Amino acid sequence: MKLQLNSDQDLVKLYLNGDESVLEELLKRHKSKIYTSIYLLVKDQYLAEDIFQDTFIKVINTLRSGRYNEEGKFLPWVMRIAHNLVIDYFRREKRAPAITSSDGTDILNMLQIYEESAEDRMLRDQTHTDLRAMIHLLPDEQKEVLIMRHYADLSFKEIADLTDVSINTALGRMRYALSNLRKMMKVKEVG
Amino acid sequence: MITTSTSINNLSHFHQKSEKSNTEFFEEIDSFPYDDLKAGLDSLMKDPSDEVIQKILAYNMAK
Repeated sequence: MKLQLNSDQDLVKLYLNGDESVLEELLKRHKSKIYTSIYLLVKDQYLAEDIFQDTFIKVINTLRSGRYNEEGKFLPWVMRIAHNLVIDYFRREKRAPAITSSDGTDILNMLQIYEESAEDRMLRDQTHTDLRAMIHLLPDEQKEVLIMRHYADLSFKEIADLTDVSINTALGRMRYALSNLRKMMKVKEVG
Repeated sequence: MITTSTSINNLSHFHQKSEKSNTEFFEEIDSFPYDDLKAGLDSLMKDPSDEVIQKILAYNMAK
């Protein structure tokens, strides 16, 4: 059976009917969106992987227990679990996400899968690092909406539901996030 | 005498927009500058390690 042709909801139904192998397709389909969202919030590769793993263990346990609400969409539901685990982490740490810039070059180095000059690599790494630092400089609520909209591909309705704000507030936060990013990029260009 | 009036329809117009039209409106006004940012934002996308994926799949298949 070509699982790629099935919708998320179809795959979840197959899972609930006992075909647990379909989780691999759901993981393949959404791992980048979910992992990147977690990583950009916690800014640590290993912590992000722990939270990613815990998220899917909760997904598996909830599906197995029959507590999954079929009315909801799969990705927003998983993102809600991941989001709550990130919040739990920061509560445990009793600190808000830091807004200082992150180096992260070890992670960027792992992405080097093609040949490029040392100069090109330095430029690319610097661009990545700069942009990531700019994202982390955003106020938390703006960063959260940007990550959920762009990386997790959630609709504003889904983001509003997840963060318990109105759609207009979510839209406004996204607009400010983009505006602030553009300003920071302009300052960097001028500098 | 100067009289003033406020159109209730105009005032409530924004709030009466459906969620879909709000989203479309927002995406329309920010489409060009956001398009410029998208490539950069996309470049930060990354995957979890294969080891983590394998652990999840092993947990999933465990009875």
